[in-house]
Amino acid sequence: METSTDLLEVLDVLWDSAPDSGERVPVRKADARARLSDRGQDRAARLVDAIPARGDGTLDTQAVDDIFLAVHLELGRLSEFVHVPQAMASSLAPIVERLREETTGTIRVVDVGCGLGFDTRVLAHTRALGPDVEFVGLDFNGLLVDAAARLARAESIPVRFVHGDALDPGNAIEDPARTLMISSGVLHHIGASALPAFFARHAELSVAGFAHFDPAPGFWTRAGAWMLHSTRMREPVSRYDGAMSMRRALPASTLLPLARAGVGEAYELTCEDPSRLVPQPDRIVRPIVGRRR
Amino acid sequence: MNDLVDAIASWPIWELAWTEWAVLVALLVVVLQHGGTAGIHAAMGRDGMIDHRRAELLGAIRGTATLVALMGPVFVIWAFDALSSPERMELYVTANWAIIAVYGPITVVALASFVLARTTPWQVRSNLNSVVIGTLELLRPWMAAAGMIAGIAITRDVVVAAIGTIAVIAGILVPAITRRWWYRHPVRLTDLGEPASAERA
Repeated sequence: METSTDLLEVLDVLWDSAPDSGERVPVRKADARARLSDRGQDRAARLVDAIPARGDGTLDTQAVDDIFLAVHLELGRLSEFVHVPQAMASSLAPIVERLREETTGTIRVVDVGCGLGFDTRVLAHTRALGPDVEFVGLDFNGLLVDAAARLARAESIPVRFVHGDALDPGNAIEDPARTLMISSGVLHHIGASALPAFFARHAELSVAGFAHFDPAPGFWTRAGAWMLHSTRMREPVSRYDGAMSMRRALPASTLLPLARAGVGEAYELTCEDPSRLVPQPDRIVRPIVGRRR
Repeated sequence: MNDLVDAIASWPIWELAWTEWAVLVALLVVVLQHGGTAGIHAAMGRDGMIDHRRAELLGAIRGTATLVALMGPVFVIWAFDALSSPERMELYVTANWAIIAVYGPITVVALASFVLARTTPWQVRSNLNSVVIGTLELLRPWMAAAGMIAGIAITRDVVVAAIGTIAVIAGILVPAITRRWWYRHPVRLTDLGEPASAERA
């Protein structure tokens, strides 16, 4: 779905998986670099230059793993700093409440593209949505799934992490009528062209609702993100990708029609961008929320 | 032995008024907390835990240790000069008042935000973190320099200026050095705990 004009983040070009098995595939350094430089992203290409390669021209696996872990560890702390887990709980609470009124049993929240699962682990640890809500984190990156599971185990947090595709999360779902899907910072990775299919999958699976969080583009978001990435992130890739994610993020006026194209009339959709006039850091990352009608 | 006691007793620092002592102690506390918070910030995002108090404590210790190591020589030079005569001590007392006039309000704002951020709803905490604490963090080197420039401007003394400049440079180096301390080794899977069973969806 990627087009030659879509801007990319560095992490986008460092990891590849076999479509069928999901197994990791080595990435050629020259290819990774070219995907960035072809788009005029020379600074990003230089970040790839700094990553060691093996004799066969593929990126050194351990070096790539180190970068993925470092960036996602920093992302977790950024998420904590701007209180994304609390924002998620706040958006999901009304849907969870309605589900409790309408049905009985355990409610499952599936975090697609969970990375190290920081938000999911906080939600599970704090039981912010109640004791009858269980959490599953899903990511296509096996390294991150392994790391997330280790971190949850280390703190005895009741959350499960599975390896899978955000665009096809069916196997993480057992009872769609009592399943909610969430994500943070995933929508801009999927991209505008693939978002209708992403949302359509929610309707096909008939999940009860979703809340997908992504940066709200705009001056204040960019300024805030620049400040937060400057002060809170150390990895050069973190800083570059953080700034780039703000440029790739879609406004509510674009997100809503794309989601509507995917789910049709099956869901009530809401997505509001923060004010353009005053800074609202608590809404830098805001959700598009869907409730099954 | 008596000579040493006499020498210490003759230091002009014992002649300071309680308010001047208070300013001196306040500055020491501000400088030490700079080391501690720099260390805590450097530790952020290195352990991946929900409860990262252990990493923060280690970060605070590393930051304070780095600050003491860097500021120690500056302190010794300051002590030699300040304790050499009542006139020199008076000069530093004047500088201290100017410096605390800059650092004091900033520290009060930072502490108030810190306390508020722990007692208010998440929306307020999020905004305080980003707008106040984040901004103060970003401007920290500039604020450190501004305080010292105020001290230098009011005293117009070459030695005070030299010691002040070295102190600011040492202070600015603390976050960079503590960051490097945390980042000298990459975080690997084995650092994040024992393996847990992961599934293929």
